[in-house]
Amino acid sequence: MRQWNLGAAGAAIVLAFSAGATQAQTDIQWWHAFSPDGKLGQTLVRYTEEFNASQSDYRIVPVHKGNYYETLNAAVAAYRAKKHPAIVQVVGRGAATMINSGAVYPVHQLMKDSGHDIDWSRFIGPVLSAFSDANGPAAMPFNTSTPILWYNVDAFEKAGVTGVPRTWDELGDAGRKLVKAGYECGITSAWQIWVHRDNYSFIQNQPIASQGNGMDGFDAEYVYNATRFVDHIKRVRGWVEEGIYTYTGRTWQGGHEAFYAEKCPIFLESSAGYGGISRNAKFRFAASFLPVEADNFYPRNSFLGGAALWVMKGHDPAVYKGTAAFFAFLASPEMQLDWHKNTGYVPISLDAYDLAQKEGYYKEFPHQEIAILSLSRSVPTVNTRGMRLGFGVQNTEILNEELENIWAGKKPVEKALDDAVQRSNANLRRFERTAGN
Amino acid sequence: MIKRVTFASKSLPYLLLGPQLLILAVFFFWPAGKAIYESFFLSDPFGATQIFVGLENFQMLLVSPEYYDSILVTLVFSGLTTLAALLSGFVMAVFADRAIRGVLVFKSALIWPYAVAPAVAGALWIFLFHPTFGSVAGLLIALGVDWDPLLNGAHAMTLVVVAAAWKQISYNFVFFLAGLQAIPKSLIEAAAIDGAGPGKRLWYVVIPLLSPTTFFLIVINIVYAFFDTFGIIHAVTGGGPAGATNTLVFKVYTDGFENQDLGASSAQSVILMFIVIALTVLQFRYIERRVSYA
Repeated sequence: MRQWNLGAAGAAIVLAFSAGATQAQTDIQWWHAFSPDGKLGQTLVRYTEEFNASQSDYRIVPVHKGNYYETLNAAVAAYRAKKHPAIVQVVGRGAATMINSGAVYPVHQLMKDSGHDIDWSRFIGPVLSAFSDANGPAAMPFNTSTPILWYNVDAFEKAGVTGVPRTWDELGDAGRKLVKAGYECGITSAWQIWVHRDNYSFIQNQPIASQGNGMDGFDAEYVYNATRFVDHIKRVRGWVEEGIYTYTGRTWQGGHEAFYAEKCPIFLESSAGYGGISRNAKFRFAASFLPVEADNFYPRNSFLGGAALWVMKGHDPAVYKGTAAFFAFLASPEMQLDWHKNTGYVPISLDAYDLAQKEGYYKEFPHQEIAILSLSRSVPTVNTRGMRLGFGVQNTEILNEELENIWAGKKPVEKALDDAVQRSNANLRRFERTAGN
Repeated sequence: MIKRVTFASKSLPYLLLGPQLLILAVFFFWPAGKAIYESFFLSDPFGATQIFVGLENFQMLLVSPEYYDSILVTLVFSGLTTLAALLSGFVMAVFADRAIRGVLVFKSALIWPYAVAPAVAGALWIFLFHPTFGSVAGLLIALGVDWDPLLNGAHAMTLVVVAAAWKQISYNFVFFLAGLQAIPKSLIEAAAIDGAGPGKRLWYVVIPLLSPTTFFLIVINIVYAFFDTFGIIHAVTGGGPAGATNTLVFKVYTDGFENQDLGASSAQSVILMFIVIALTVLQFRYIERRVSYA
């Protein structure tokens, strides 16, 4: 309970300070999850400064609220106390919660009401659809990434791996050669649920849950214990046993360290891992698409990660006018290209992508293009439009637990995945009762 | 005869107690009351929908095997942490009590870990013991230990127990040292003259006389292990692998603040509250009887 009080108190303090600012300008609070000590946070703050300097009616006030969960909690607590910000950055898995919260002013409506004519068709489709309601985008995509295959070029040469593995089986062969050549851990992955369940299923056009992964209704049920994903996990379990795949934790840190230290020359990780990799890798590295099954000649679009900007209800019209102006500013091709180059996140509009191509940016940094191509490489199917499932965070942790049971050899693959689905479906039914109203 | 001191005015005692009661009301009774209230509801995070569900949140927990696992994990974790922190603190206090030179240096050095924030302590331990980049982990693996707290539950448990105990040792050390120094030297000398060696003196004289301190520390350490170790678990294992270090408090946090399931989280808080009340009552009824406040 303590956190609630702190969140509300923090909100009160922030508001008290901002109230003292000049009256002529409208202050607009933006709560976000990027620490100002890091490159991401610094870039974000720079954008607000540039926007504030570009006009005199509005002032965007960025406030770092901690990680994604802390930011969302602060916003929830503040909303209940009616002291919430206008803009809040929410992690992708929170989309179902946000869309059904009744606390959100949909972005398509906001832009229309404020007289900004946005051509949404110039945005990258699968990115937008992940955050869209029936009438259009409910949130503004902000930091968007997708997992790709990072590899150590020096290690590939040393181990005699020629070409980049296209299929999962080829990836296993490469891992085998690398381990034989003395690279102790072979293959690893960050964010295993995102890589092995979400993106494997999207690229293979397999459902994760019914009702188009929850996009079409709250009565969706997880079905991934009955798709090709099961065989994929059996294969990875075999790799773990063989010693050519190493589990380095649920998030990203362990995998990065193993990649930098040249222990794992193959690393399945977000395109946004580029910042860390380019700073720390003392070897030649490159990137390619996540592998596919050998019989998959039409790989589907991959699944995005990252966060979007949500606008909350209950503020003055002037605040919303300023918010819309800021979003239009952020969405401009120049800003998107700047974001892309500085962070490794993908640009959200095709215009920004065209601009990068025209500049010849991808000739110099070819791996920066992989994520965009991967996210947009086919027309999305019912299985690859997006994912909108309640208690997304909890259900991810449940599958993490069961995968750990599998890697440790404590449960057979089928049993563990059945258990995960059963536990997660109970959560979906629980979510349905509040969201359906 | 117990001496009775009474206040002349009736309102003065209330006035004096007022600030403390106010703090208790605001920081304990209000949130605790709110937790009990929320535990009967199923609500969406933003409070738009709130459905009264009676005891369903509790029922859901009591049929979940993971919840029983979490209770077991908490008992093992708290037991081991309390034991390790008390024993180490005691041993260090006994040695510091005997040290002649550099006492001040030892004392100050031993108090440091207590000043480290739990999250920082956790980050420190993971940097030492993470199987892919931990420096100590590297040594262990080089020595042939199959060290992997990411997949081996026993390793993960060992790691969080050691990290949690490490942070609490200083506190225990300070209290034990003060307790030891309060024992009259004459008693120990008398025992020595009667022919008791250092071991016997410790067992028959020092430990019984320390019992009020020990009892106080047991209560404090159990409460610490139950509640204040959240930051360490969060930073070191995140409750994993497969729930092996998912203590009740950590589960309250993840369900409430990561999953935004207020009802389930509140129900767990209420159960936790009763567990701690029961534990404290037990301690006072059964352990305190053996304490002499001579």
